[in-house]
Amino acid sequence: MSVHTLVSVVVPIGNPEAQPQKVVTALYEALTQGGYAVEFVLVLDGPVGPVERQIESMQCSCPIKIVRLQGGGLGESIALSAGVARAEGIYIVNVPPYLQTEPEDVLKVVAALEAGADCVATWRTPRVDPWLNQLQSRLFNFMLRVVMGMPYHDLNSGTRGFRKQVLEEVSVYGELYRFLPVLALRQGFRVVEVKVRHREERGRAGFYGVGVYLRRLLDILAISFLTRFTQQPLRFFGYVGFLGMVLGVALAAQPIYAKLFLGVGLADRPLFVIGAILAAFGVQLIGFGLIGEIIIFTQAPNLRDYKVEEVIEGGAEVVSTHGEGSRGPSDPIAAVVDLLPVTATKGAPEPLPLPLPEHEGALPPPPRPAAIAINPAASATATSEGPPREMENGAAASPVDLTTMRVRELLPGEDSRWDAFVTRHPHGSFFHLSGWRRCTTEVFHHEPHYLIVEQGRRWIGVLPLFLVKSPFLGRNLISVPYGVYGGALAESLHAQQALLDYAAELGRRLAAGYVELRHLEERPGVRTNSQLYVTFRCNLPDDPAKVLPAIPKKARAEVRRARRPQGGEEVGHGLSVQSDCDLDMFFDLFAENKQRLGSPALPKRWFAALCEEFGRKVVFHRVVDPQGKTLAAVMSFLFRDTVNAYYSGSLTGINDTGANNLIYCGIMEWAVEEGFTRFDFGRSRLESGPAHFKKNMGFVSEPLRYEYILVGDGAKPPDFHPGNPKLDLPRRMWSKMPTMFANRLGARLSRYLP
Amino acid sequence: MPQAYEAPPSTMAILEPRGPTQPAPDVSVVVPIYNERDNLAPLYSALTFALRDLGRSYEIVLVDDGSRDGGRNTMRALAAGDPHLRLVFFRRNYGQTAAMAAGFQQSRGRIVVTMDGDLQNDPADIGRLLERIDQGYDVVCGWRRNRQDRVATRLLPSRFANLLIARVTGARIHDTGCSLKAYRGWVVRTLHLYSDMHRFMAALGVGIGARITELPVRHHARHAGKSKYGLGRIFRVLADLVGIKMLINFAAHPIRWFLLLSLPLFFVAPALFVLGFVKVSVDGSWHWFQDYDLAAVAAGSVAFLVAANVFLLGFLAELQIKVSRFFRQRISVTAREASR
Repeated sequence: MSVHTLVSVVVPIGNPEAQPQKVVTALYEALTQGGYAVEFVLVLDGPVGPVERQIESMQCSCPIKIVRLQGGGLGESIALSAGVARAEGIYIVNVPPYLQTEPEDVLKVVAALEAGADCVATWRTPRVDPWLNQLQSRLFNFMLRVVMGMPYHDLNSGTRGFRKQVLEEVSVYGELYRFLPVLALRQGFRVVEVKVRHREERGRAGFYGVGVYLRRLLDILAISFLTRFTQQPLRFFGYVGFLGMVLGVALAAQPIYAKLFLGVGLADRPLFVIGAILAAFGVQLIGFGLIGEIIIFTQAPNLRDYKVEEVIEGGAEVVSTHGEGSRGPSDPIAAVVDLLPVTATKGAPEPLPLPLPEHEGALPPPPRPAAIAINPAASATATSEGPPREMENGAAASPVDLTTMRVRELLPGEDSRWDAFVTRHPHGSFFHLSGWRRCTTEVFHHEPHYLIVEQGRRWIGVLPLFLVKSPFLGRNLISVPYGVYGGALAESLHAQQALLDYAAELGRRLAAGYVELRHLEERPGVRTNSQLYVTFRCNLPDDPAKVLPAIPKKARAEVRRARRPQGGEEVGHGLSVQSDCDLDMFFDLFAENKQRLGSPALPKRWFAALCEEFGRKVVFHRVVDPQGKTLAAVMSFLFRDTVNAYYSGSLTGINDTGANNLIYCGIMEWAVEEGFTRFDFGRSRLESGPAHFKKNMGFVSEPLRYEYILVGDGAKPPDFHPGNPKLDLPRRMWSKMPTMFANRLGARLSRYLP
Repeated sequence: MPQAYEAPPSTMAILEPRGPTQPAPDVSVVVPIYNERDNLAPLYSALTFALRDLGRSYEIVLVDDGSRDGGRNTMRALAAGDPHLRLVFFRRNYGQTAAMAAGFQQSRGRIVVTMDGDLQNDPADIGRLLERIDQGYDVVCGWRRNRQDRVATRLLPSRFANLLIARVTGARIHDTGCSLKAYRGWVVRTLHLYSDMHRFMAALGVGIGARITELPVRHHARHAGKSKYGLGRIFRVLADLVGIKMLINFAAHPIRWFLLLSLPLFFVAPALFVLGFVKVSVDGSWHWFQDYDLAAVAAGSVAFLVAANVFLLGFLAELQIKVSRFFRQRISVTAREASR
């Protein structure tokens, strides 16, 4: 028995009549005499004012820790857990706040722990409390023994001992602290029972409320169920269910026979009804068993219900027990084990002994320069190795770095590097920028997974992904939501493949249905393509005056008419394009437009976030009539040399004014003036109204190569696009809704329509 | 048209053991041990003798399933002298499946071989099993052609059980009870064992698309210790068989299984309703709507209710399957199989 073994005594104190002083004094004396070091952890749970004063005045030469539970009345399980969390000893003794047993008998508990038990249950015998309590307690334990086959006689005893580890692995809650030995046994701990002499008993005498008995009963049932049947639900349910079925059919068979052949009615045959119900119940139980089996099977990786006590790696000393000659070079493990100690002695201990003899008596040298001075070889290699790797990206990296590709997620602080990569990559788009990530997560809370493939320290590909959970479309990884372009940007086919493989794996891990890659350009590799959408792009002329002549005749006439001042000989509307538009003007028109088309509008917060994030990379234009009224507005994104007219809105009934044609013409002229060379008219669904409009403006459609990697069971690409005839009715209903309501609801709904 | 994405072999890397410090050995031999003190030293030397000459790197994982016969000290002594040995000690006896599962968990080999600790299997057969794996099989089961057990209590029940298991699961193996088996690493690391599932490892392997074969192996009589099996496990094996059948064949669509379960009741219910509205006289003639039997109608209603209930439980099962990771792995494994 070691002298300094620390025993922690945890005393949960829940009522003001507790006598912690008596407990502390008596147990301290007993345990120190037994040769242990003791600490007490008093857990105050509830209104225990007088006890607290008692504790404050307490004198003891051992550490006493006091844990106050916030709120109080949390119950003994929580008190116990909280106390054990603060306890420092390996052995924990849990006692009630009065002297329930003879103090010397606590020694027995600790001795049992020291003898190798993990948990010690006590058996108060002979008992001194009223016979009625004894009877109830016996009944309880008898039931436990019969129902669960547990060998314990007195689980109600408040004195328990256990190793700290037990409570770390067995979680107790509610009234389950009583069953700690049972639960510990189930977890594979060694549990023993020791007899203790009963000294006094506090607490209620006589009968408890009905609820108490009921709760105990349920506890027993729950625990016996958990301990016995969680491993093989089908065995239990299947057995009982099968029995019920057989019994039920047997009971019902005779009455049915009598009805069919003997002319006896079923009305006064209760056995028939009982039998039928029994059989039906049996079938249901089997069903439950199957469900249980499926749950257990699918969750088996998480339900590792064996406990490994120790794993021992063989071969501390590498002495061959099976002959010297037989181990050849064909045995890599032996080779590694042989080598390991050698490398260890080469590297680690070297710097330690060196500084000592040389610098004795000298001024206290800072350790690092000293090492360099003494060990020039080491410092030389250090300096020759270190800096170049920092300076030249990948040039000085080892050959291994050049061949291994690694896919990982974007780390905080790498946003600017990401943006630089996107901007440099020929397929990069505005929607690839890291700002899109910040906006999307901030406004819509989709989970971002920005993937990077690295070769050494060099980035050779990126792929922005978001996990979008939608009631309409399910869980999917999308690159990128709310953007029309996205997908992988890679420098090589291998890098792209690595990204897509990782994305598919990630999709599986996140239980996604598909990975949607909104590629603008066709990428190599065969995947599901959706050619539902087209996009429209053009090169801009070098002079604003050349914009209008480039537009086909009909649309050109519209623009001219829109610009011509009102009241002249020819019809004119006197409209002009202004770039003084702001978010509010734009959003009103945008929302109105969306509702007219019958689709939910994105929330205003989204646009505000984009403005804030991208600043001057976001521009608004509007068309105003001579009265200063805004007829149409467009929000455009600026990326590299391209102006991307992205979101638009217009008033109802302005189609004949040519405002729609005018605004895009105006934006193009503005773009040329500002030095942009490309205009992106954005995505439209094939053969839709907007697509025709864009064609009329002289643009040529390019198919978008959206790709879908199907990862989930039975996943298929979405057909939840506005053209789906199934959505006709909801769309018409939506357009009839009051505007304010539609905006509010739309802001919520649009989140799920990435 | 939509095409399922085929997982390339590289994504299976998550199923391969992640090597801690040492490179993964070629072969791991997992042996569950329970109260086999006197067999330990012979077992160890036989294993070492057999494995050493194979020309492959190997490790031996001994899983002590809570032995109380002092065998642990022998094991520790053996391990102290041999780096090939890995010991896993359980806190108490959890049964052979748990021991196997822990062994699989701790093993790092590209190929995992399992065998009994009682030396009834002959380690000398391991080399032949490995050759079969090299030929491209994923699971190789041993087949004890000449069993050395008492006929009445072990052999006959075992014959019957094997026949049944082979028929029901579709894994045409003569001897599922033989512990001597070799698996490719991904098979054992995909399957998570529970309850008594080790008996059905081969069948489960078929379920995830492993190629399976069998090979006659030697079988010796026990010369130390005593047998741990008896007749009592037959009922349990039967119950497990039902579960396995469900998991293998209906895993993708458990609702079918539940439909099957509820179908009889769906037929019984209308039959009972009919009984409620008919009076059968002694001469066998039926008189409709003369005498109403409320009891039959009530029983029919109950039958219908339960049938619907059980059928609906199938949806819960579908949900559970949908969210489980196992079946995703299973799909990717099958995809790999197809691409090979």
